[in-house]
This record gives sequence, C-alpha cells and structure tokens, in this order.
Amino acid sequence: MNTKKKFIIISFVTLLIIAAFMLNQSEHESEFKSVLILEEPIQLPDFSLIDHEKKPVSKDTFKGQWDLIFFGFTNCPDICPTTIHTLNLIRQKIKQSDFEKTLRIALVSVDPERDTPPVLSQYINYFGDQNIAITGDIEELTKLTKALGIFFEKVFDDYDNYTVNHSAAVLLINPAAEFSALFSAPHILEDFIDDLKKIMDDYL
Amino acid sequence: MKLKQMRLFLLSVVFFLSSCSNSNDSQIMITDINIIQPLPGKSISAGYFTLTNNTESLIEITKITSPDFESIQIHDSVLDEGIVKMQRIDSLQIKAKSRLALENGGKHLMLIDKKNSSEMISLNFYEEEKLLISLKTNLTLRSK
Repeated sequence: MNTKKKFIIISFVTLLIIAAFMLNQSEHESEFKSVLILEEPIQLPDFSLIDHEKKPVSKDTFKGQWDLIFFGFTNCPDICPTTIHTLNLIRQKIKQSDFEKTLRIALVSVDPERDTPPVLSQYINYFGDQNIAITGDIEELTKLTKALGIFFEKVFDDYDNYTVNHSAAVLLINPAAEFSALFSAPHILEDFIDDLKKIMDDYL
Repeated sequence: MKLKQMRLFLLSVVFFLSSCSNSNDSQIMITDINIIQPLPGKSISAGYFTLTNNTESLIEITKITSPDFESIQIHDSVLDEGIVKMQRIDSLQIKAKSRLALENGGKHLMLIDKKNSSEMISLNFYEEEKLLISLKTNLTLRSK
C-alpha cells in the first residue's frame, strides 16, 4: 500500500472516530435537559446531625433510597416552600413502583438556630409524611455543605433581623449515599421529572 | 309614591358608591391576589399580586399595612449565580400605564405574625402617607 492510500485510509478512520465522538457528545447533551451528572459520584462525608424527629442522621441515613436534598430554611416564605412543593410534586409524579429504590425529599436547614426539630417537624409534615428534615450543630452542617459545594451565609438587615442566602440547587443522592447529580434552579417540573427518571432507570 | 321615591333614592346611593369605588380602582388596580396562609408552626408567609397603574405618572407604594398582621415587609428574591438572596426593599414602583407582578422567586410581600385566626384579611397600600387602595381577600393554602 502506497503512502497516499495509507494517508487516505488514516484520514477516513480519523474522521469516522471524530464523527462518532461528536454524535455521542450531542446525544449525551440532548439526553438531559436540566441536570448536571457527576462523572464520578461523591461519597457523602462523615457528619452527625438530627432529623425532625430528633433521630440521628449520618451518611448511612442516605443509604438504601434516592434522596433529593434541598438546603433551605423555614423562615424563608418564598423560594423554600415553593421548592419543597415542587419536589413533592416530582415525588408524586414518579411512579415509585417502577423503581427498585424509593425517592425521598430531604430538607437540610441552613438556619439550625431557628429550625429546631419541633419547628421542622410541623413544616415538613405539611408536605407529607415520607420526607425528612435535618438540622443540628453548625460545624456538622458545614462538614456536609463543604463536601457538596453548598453555600450558605447568614445576612443581617438594618432592623437586626436576619435571613440566610443559600444555594438554590437540588442535589440527587443515589442509594449508595453518593452525590450523583445536581439540578440547578430554576426547576422546570417536566424536565426535572424526565431527567430524574432516566437517572433512576440507568442506575444499577 | 313614597316607596317609589325611596327606591329611586337607594338606587342613586348604590350608583354613587359604586362609581366612587370604580374611580378609585381606575387609578391603581390589584389583581391575581394570592396571600398565602402561614405554614403550621410558622408566623410568616408570602403575598403575591399584580399591580396595574392606570395613571400617566409613576406610582410608588412605600408602605403596606394590615390590621391582621403585626408587620408587612416588601421583599425581593434574587437568584445570583446559583445563590438565592432574599432582600428587603423600600418600595414598589409601578411606571405610568404599566403593570408590576409580584410573583414567586421575585418581588413579594412578607407578612409577619398573624394577629387573629380569620381567613379574611385586609391590606392597605400607601404612597408615603396617602392611602391609595385597600382590599379584602381570603388567605389561600400553600400548595403541598
């Protein structure tokens, strides 16, 4: 085989590889609409918090089911209850029997000072009895938020009241207690459901 | 004859009162009202509505009061690079011949400490010390 033929064959094969790669990329991009899938899921760190029933919460609490975690606080009248409502709708619309593992909603309070277990209990139970709300020591909370890249910051106003600025994303924790996907705000219900179903379907 | 005169008088009164109300409404209108009941155990809630300014000049709502709440603040939720920030703002400005929608994830009222168990509440909207409009509405349940 002469050099020219070799060049043509190599070029052809290279083009095929590039085309296949681009096709794969575009398929992958169009596959999901609202979620960032982590190439390597992140194992939850060691931490020690409590839930709305004062039961201990650690990374083991997240083993055995899917969890959609939202970091918020109950004194937030606008975004936080709306996000919990949206997640509740998502949980209701996903047919749980289609999947081996169930889906739970977890509200992690970024305002543990005001969000005590009794406060969280009334709040989270309003949205149904299958969800969990988490609070506890700020240092333990920070272990979790740092590992997951979640931001929160207490901000005082001129009237000595405070609010908490916080990440708006919803994190998906897989049944192995690994952070596996991130849904950025604003959350579009149908896109969220479609993406979540695909992720849960593909999970081995 | 007396009865007929009385009817005519009452009709005139009703017409006068209704035209007063319309005249008020034509300056500024409030529609799509959704004042949400506080969640169990909470003393705060949110309020949403659309303000329509039918005048040729800017209207600035600087104060909203209610006999049913200890205080009412105007807030703005902002999503800034993935971070939710809730800021207190001083007023709501509605440009001439324009609308301003208070909605979830944006400008909204924060209603603090309900004083009674009534589901019907009143709101008074002021520009400085001038009362612009008052309304009565039922609280709505937050969607679960």
